[in-house]
Amino acid sequence: MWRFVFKFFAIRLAGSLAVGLALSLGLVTIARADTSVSITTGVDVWSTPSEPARYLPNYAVQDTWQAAAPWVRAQVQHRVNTDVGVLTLTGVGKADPVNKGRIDRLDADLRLGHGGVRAGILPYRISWCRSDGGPWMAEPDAFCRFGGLNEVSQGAFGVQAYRSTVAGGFLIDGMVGVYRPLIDGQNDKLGPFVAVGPTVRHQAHGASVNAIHLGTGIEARAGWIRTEQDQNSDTGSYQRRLRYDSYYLGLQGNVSKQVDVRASVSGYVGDQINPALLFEWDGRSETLELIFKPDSTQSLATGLSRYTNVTTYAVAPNGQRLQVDSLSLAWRKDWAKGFYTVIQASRSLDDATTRRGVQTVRDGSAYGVRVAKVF
Amino acid sequence: MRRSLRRSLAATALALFAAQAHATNWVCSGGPTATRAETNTTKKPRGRTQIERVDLQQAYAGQPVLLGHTWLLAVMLPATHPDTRQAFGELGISAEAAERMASGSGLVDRGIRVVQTPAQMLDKLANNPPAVGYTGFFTGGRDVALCF
Repeated sequence: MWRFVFKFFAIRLAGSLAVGLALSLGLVTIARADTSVSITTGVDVWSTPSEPARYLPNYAVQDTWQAAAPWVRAQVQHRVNTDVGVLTLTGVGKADPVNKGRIDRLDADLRLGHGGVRAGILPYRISWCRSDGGPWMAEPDAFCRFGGLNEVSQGAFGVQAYRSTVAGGFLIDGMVGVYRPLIDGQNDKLGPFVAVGPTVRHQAHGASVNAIHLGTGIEARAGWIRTEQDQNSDTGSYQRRLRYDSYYLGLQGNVSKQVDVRASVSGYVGDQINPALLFEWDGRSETLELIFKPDSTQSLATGLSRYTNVTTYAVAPNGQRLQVDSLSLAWRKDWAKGFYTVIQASRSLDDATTRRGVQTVRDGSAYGVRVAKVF
Repeated sequence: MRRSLRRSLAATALALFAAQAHATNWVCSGGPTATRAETNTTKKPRGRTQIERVDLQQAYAGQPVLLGHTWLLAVMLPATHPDTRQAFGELGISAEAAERMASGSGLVDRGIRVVQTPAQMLDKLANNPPAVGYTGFFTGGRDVALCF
């Protein structure tokens, strides 16, 4: 049995490393000397003593996350100073057992003084979801953590324009973007829904504003994106049209020199225009994080999160409600030579009421360990 | 009276010496120091090449700073690092603000990079001129020098 487990693990590890290495080498080859390259690789292990509760890290991908999951993340960035401004070429990709290999960024950013434009595969930049997890293995905010809910943390092929200004001690950035997820094949990973068939149209547009006080570090973010997606049913008998708005409001700052606090509300509001099943959603995630940094090598993080979803159907019985409360604790330690470790415990309570009025309450815990190295 | 004055002068001198001893060493690459070394260059600088103190404040506040033909890169240690506390205290800017701007979650990719150790900082400066960083104790390094 152990031989089989080791063989399976080794194959996955080798596969992930190969994809990451190929990605990195490919991007390095096309870049020049002043390129910065960052490769991070690690292994995550999650354990659940009981049946996993909704949206815990191993929910819906239980078989994969129960075992050790190796991953690789690579970023290559190249700055070129031109006569018109700074041109930055960025490539970010990762490989893990859940996502396989995927490109999160592949774009050109031309900064013209206090403004600029970007084109390529771009993150939407609506939320503060962390690309590297920060002090967490899995962030408390369900909208940052769970595939299917996390559109605010995703991105797609598109164009963005931005502008910065300083006013009243605040550095204020504004950004608008238009996206076409079908171009780069990112369509499948987006949206809080289950696909009914092939997507025939998918586009989005949005805007974000970010303000940071230069004297205190207090920062606020407001982001919004409008998504329109049409799918033909597998049988071809109807077309489902989804129209929804995703939004994010966040505030973060320092309570003291060693304690950071972050509060956020994110959600999606929309409807499904579908002859077979008309309904509207209202999903929301409220999160509060406290991060204690006793020194520059350690973070102790506490996160509280509440995710609610109300689905209203056009025909009776027409109400369905879900609420998931969770508490997460994590300790990250950065060691010498680029190594770091994260230990996380999460517990959640899932309270769901179906259209027929049947209520189900269950809870669960997950414990995770990450060992990683930054090259 | 005279003894009191002498004590005051001695205390002042000691305080000034201590302040000097603990002042941040601002370290640059590709700036005036490197320019002096680049005797073969034929390019005429479009703008000024001398790094000034106001450039440090602008760079660590996320503002673009043009030096000659190129844009200044600001490199920092984590916000909780003692050298960072010292350096940002001198600039009057929140180190947390700069660290957040460098995190990559912003709407604009700032010319600020975070490294974990002073050795990494010197490497980053040397490899990305013109760039500015700081250290509590500078003994020299490849392609980097004190800014002022």
